[in-house]
Amino acid sequence: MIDKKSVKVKSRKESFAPRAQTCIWQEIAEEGDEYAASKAYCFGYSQETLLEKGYGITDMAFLLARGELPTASQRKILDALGVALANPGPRHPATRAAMEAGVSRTRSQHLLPISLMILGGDHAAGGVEAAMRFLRLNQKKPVYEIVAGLLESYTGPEGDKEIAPGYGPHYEVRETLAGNLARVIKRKFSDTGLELKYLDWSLEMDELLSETSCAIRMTGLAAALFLDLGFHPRFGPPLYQYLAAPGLLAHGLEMSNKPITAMPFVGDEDYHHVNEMENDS
Amino acid sequence: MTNYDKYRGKIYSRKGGWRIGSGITTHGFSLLDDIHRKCSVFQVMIMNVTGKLPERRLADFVEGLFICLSWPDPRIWCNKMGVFSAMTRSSATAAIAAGGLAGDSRMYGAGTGPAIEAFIVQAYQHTVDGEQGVADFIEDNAYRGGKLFAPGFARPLAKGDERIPAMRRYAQQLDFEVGPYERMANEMEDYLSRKEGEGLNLSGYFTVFMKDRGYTIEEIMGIAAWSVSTGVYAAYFEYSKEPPEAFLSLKVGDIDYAGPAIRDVPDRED
Repeated sequence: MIDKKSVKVKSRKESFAPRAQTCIWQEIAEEGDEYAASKAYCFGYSQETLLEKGYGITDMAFLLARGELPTASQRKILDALGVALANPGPRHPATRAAMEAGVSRTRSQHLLPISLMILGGDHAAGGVEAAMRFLRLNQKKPVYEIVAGLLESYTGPEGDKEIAPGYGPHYEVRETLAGNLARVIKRKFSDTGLELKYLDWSLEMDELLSETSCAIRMTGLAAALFLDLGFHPRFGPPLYQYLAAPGLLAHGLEMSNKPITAMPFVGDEDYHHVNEMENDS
Repeated sequence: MTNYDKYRGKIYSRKGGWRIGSGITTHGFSLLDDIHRKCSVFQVMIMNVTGKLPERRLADFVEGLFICLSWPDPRIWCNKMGVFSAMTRSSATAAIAAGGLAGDSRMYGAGTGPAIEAFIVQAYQHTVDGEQGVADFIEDNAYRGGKLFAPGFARPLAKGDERIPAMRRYAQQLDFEVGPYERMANEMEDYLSRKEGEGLNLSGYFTVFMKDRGYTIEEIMGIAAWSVSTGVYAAYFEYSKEPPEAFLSLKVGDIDYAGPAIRDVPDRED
């Protein structure tokens, strides 16, 4: 047996990079001052020229994530997904967090970090990666076979248990909001030249679930379109957070100049202490 | 009708809360009469995680773990969040939140919990409940592509961890006995130490120690959730009075650009 009372600590002497390296961004130094930048290039494209040629935030986000500017159809799909995800809505825990933080006067610059952290949970944006992996694994298989197998072992809708990553009930019932938006995107953008094979498969799955309490969720919709746009599953959760940020921010700011009484505060009569004496026994 | 109807406009708490005008209860105790001045903040924190007030020595042991993680060194990743927060003049609260979130990592800190749990439980099933020897288990399960992958063992940057003997001594001083998970982990450590020069890491040690006392991995991760915070404080306050770019200052050319060469921007397609 080794000596458990002491230990020799030795450096692994790993070879760390002497400087940070990036393929994304290149700054050009001001002549005569190496601390000051005068120009910047994103994956080789001049930031000034991108501005001059009218590129927008969706183009820039795509370029930063993928290293290439989007085609017109890719931009339209990402824009459309941005509209679908722009606001998780005032019932979503992340939005409720933004609203409560706003009304309780947190600094406005904390509204996004607070609500995005909460949006990152596995039952929200954090679940997009699993949904993308589920779609990648199954998209070439017949949907009805997958759904039949899932329904056989499904134990929900209690606790809003998902039947598959990106598909499940909301408040234990089938919610059609994400599916309805997905169908608009499919109708409007199916002839843009970009194959939407993951969206098609996802909507077929949603239709096969229509007699159950489950439906495609926003995470499922995002997963399908992120894959159709060529993103790796690892990009799913943070991209979802990015696209949902405007709504979270808006709801937080809406509350931030209101009195604290502008949001409910549950009265003692509706605050029930359960098993209060547990520790006495 | 769904199970959610009963939650509309109502809160049901097993933890307790404030009754305006009559005081605060927590898990059946009066916070100010029974807990305040009589319990440590670590006891209260653990009670708020698990629902049970732990004995003082366990809370002291957890505090010992937190002290082991309270390095002021700004080279450590979570502590760097404190430095960067100071550089932009974020609030101390933002710094602590950012540092804690960075420590929710798959490489170190509380975020390693699920991987450690899976490996330790598997090892226990094979070697304690089953009949496989520790050496055989490690050879069969602790290597991926020829490289050691044993969650709960080994650490970044160095081989060996001086905090483990310190925590073992503290456990002994507090009269904690070695339980079955820790015993198994010690045997695994003996083998890995001889073969690879690697030992238990702090998260691995804490996990087996707490599992021997009946804590779940979710509770263990919850208890450790802010364990890196005090180091982040040090990094933040060290740099909060320095000039904004004083941490490892960077000239433009100090970043290696490895992307595409400068290229023409195409016209935007509509």
